[in-house]
Amino acid sequence: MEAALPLIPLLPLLGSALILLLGRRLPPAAPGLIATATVAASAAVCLALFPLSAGEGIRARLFVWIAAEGFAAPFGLLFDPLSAPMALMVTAVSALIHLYATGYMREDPSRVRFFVLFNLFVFAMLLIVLADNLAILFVGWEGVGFCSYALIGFWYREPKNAAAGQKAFLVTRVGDVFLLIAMLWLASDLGTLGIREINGAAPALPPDTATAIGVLLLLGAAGKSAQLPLMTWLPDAMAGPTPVSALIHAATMVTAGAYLLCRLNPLLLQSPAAAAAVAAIGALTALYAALSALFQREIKRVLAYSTMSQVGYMLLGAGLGAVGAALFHLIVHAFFKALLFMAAGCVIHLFGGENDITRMGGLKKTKRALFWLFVAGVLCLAGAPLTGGFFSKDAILLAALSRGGWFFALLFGLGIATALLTAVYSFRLLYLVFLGERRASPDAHPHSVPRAMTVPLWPLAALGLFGGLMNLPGGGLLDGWLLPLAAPPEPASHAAEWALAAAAALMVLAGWALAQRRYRGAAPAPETGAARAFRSGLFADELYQRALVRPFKAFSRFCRRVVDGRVIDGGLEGGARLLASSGGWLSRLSNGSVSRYRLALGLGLLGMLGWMMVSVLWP
Amino acid sequence: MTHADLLGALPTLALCAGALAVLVLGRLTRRRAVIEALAMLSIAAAALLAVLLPELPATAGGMFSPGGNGRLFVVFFSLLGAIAILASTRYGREHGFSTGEYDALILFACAGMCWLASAASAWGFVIGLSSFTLALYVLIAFARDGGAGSEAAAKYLSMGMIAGGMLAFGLALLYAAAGTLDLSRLASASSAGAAPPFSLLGMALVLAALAFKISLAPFHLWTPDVYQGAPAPVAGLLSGGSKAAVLAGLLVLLPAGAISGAVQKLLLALAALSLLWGTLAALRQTDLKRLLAYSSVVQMGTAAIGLLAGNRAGAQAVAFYLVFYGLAAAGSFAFLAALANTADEPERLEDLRGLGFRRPLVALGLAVCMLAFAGIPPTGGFFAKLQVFAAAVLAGQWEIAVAGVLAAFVSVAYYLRVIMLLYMSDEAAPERPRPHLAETLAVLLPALLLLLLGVAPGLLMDWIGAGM
Amino acid sequence: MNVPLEHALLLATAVFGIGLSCALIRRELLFVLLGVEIMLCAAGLALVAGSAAWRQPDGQVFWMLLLAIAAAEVAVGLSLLLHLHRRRRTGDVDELRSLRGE
Repeated sequence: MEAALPLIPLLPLLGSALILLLGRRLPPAAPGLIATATVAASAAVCLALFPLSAGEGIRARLFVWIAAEGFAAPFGLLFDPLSAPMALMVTAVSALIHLYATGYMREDPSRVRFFVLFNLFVFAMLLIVLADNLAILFVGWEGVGFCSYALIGFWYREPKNAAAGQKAFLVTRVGDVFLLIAMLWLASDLGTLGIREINGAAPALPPDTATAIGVLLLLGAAGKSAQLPLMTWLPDAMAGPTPVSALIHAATMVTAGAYLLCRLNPLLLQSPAAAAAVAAIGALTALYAALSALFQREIKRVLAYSTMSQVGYMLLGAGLGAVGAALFHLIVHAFFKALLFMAAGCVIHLFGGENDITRMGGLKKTKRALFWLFVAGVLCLAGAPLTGGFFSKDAILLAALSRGGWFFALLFGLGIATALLTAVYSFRLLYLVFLGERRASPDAHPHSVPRAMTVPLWPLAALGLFGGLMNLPGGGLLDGWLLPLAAPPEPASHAAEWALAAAAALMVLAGWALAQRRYRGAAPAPETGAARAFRSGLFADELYQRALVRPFKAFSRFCRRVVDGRVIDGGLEGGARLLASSGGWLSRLSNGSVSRYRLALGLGLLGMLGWMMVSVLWP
Repeated sequence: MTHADLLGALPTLALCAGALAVLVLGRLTRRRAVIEALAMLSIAAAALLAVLLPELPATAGGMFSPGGNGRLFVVFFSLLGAIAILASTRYGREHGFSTGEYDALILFACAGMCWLASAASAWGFVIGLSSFTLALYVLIAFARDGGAGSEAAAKYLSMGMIAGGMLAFGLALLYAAAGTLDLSRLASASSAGAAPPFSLLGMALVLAALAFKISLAPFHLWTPDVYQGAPAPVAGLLSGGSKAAVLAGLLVLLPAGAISGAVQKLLLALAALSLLWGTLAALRQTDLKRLLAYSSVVQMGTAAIGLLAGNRAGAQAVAFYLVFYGLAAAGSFAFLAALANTADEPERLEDLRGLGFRRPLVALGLAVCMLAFAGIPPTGGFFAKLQVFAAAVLAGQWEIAVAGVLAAFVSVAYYLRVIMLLYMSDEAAPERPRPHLAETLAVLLPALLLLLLGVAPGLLMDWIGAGM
Repeated sequence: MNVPLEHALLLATAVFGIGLSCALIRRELLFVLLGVEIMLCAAGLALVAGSAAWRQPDGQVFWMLLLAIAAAEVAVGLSLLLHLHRRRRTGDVDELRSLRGE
């Protein structure tokens, strides 16, 4: 049984290779089917192995990847109570999104490339999840970065898309550098990159080192998970095909940062300052992104900001040491956000490619099933009582509340305010897209929605709505499952639990009421200045443009014109000319004439004898 | 001749017996497939015998040392012979190579290479060298259109015979000075022996002759012409096999610790000149075969750095290097053979345009060979160069190591140009034949082995280390 | 009679020089072959002299081996010469210039 563990990541890799090699020779539907089947098989293996992950879990060591003196990075996989549920979620959600993608991409001429990259992404993501040391994790980390880049810019002929891909790649790379520094630091201080070893040896680290490494890890996670201050790439990443947004930029890759912080939570908690910084960044991002989401006009950008905001909750949980709550929210969020994205993809199809929610509306009348699916997603996102989102969000907020102290009380306040905003923008989305009058321009041609695009929504809706059963308050399954790795949450008083639940429910109701008042039926009001500010994400792009990009470009121009143009080019070009002309002269010596070759032979021999004489006479 | 001697000669005798059988069979049947199968069979028999024979003696007849690395060399040169035969299955038919003789000569050449590589005495050295040189003279003249091949053969022959004379006289002088024909003691004993000036002259002549064989500058001028004129599969054997065999012979002739003083300075000068000359000239080539010729000059200059190091690490690095180099050269020329038609081979660099899309498998093989030549991981070329440079630095010769690194750095430019052209789209390119299975195998086999060497260099290093 | 080894080697070197000059300078393939034969004779002289000086037979055996190899080489060389004569009507290797760079 244990031997099957490597199959989990290898099956998608196999699928990718198969599609790459055979994709063009097979019937058009085959690449999608191969991709879906391999990922589904991987999910099945994951499910079958799940019981083995209890307690210590199992490890598989495939081969030694890097071995240098005193340092080794074996290619090993770790299937323990933290990675097992995560891997199961990744494979299951991926399988559903792959199924959706077979419908979504069915007419795209570049399907083969799409599914190769899509499967490769799942492989890389599973490497992150199952890695038993940071070197392997980093391989996966860069792998998902590359796939994300290639998939955001999938329709690269549109310059905007290619630019979005590059932006995502560059911004996340900034975070990757910090992660790499943290890894090297850990390797030199602890002499190992093994995840368990690091967590075990963490108490031995000096406090300052622990803080520094914790902050570096936070920055690394912020890049991948689109948190402040490296969040600007995520909204633009929506330029990719919708399945990509659903899988990579909602369900899996963006949660990799939160997962990393959960994985290394014992290390992180060594430094209260670093942990507090993680929590604060999470809470601030949650609020910032929720505010921005409220004013977006493109459906996918609303969801992108909402993802950012929800991942902020996960970081808050990780910073509080509530690994169970963070993982719980991560998994439930993956279910309902994938649902919302895929439903949004259907909506965009039905409005003939229209993205702007102010030009939608009235879809409920024609597409009832889709409406109810979307309602399920919105309820989960808003955290309506008894849905999965309600319990998972509450668990994090409860952890913040029960920590005590003004700092955490403040974070709790941010969290609860975010909950209100979340409810408002979720219902705003619902009202503008599905209710009211149809505002679409009459010449928009709705595309048909194939069955493959609606089927996967049902299980996701069910999982989102009933996901709360995984971890009901007061000793949930997941918390118990994670006991070998993470301390259970401090038991809060029942009164506090009930009060928090009531407050959260109140927020949802208030948000609903606000959204209903403002967006029901009425055509959206013209945009005010403040709204424009929030729609652009508080001018974050503009800020980075002015503070970083323009000075950098100016410096580059200087380098190009002066340093490169005059100093280096002059020298290099002269050198290259010299090289080329002497090369031409030298190769013309081989002019086909044997006499000349024999002459060279004789002269060479003479030269050798002379050289020998010289070296004998003057040693 | 004892039982042990016979046992030691058995693997190479299998090649010779195969060659004779192929010659006879060539008179009896005109079916190429049968003859080629028999040739492949004798190659497989030789390789299997070399691997499986439990105890090979240290020397056979005082001439060869079949044990140790002798096993490796039999396997390696048999593999190169197999690649040459696979690559010429269609090529030979379309160019009307006479059945029997061609394959027999390839087998003889392989046997000669094995002998040279495992030579223990000057006799073995000369026998091995002459056997494959003679076979190659004839193989090169197996012409495409007659003209080019016979011209290349005449050029190679007129130069090669002079080099052969130099080698013979050089060895004779070394013998006269040393009083022994034992190859590993020849160099050291002669410099301490009866006639110092003559031993130096002998060493210079031997080195010049061998530098000619492995195309070290300034003795390399024949190389581009001969590669260009020779049929591609033969050029692969000439470039990969004969150079690898001579390098292996040099390892015996100049064992670790024997290189000093004047010899070292000579070799240093040859290596430095080869790196410079080959690199500069390769940058300007527009013909793949000529490019490979100049690239071999640089590659051999780099290998000479390992010899120069004069330590155990250097010797092992050179042994690794010759395996990598032989595979990459054989793969590159097999590519040319696989896409050759009766009129020409796709040797002009412009001909390569777009082949990466139209003939993906063989083009991939060529790309891997180019990456290996350029020393880019994950190919064996990376480790080969790394070890050579590391050995040189270990021996304190960092100047020549830096020169080698620089040459490798610049070489990326001309190797990557080949890869770039392969993957440039071009709709209007002339049609090239579709390589069949044997030809595809001839290109992919070395490419796969190169990748294997890049991923797990320890496999080969352990083998070499155990044999040295 | 006792000839010192140095004298014999000096003579051999002189003969070798003559052969090498012939092989390097003459343009006809036939004379290249002749020159090489002279070089090999010089090698034989050196081998026999060395063998006598060291009182060992192996140098002489080596010389016989070289003779056999030289015969084979000349056989190949002459047949190639005939081939060239028939195809190109020349024995001058320097006239073969169709293989060359740009």
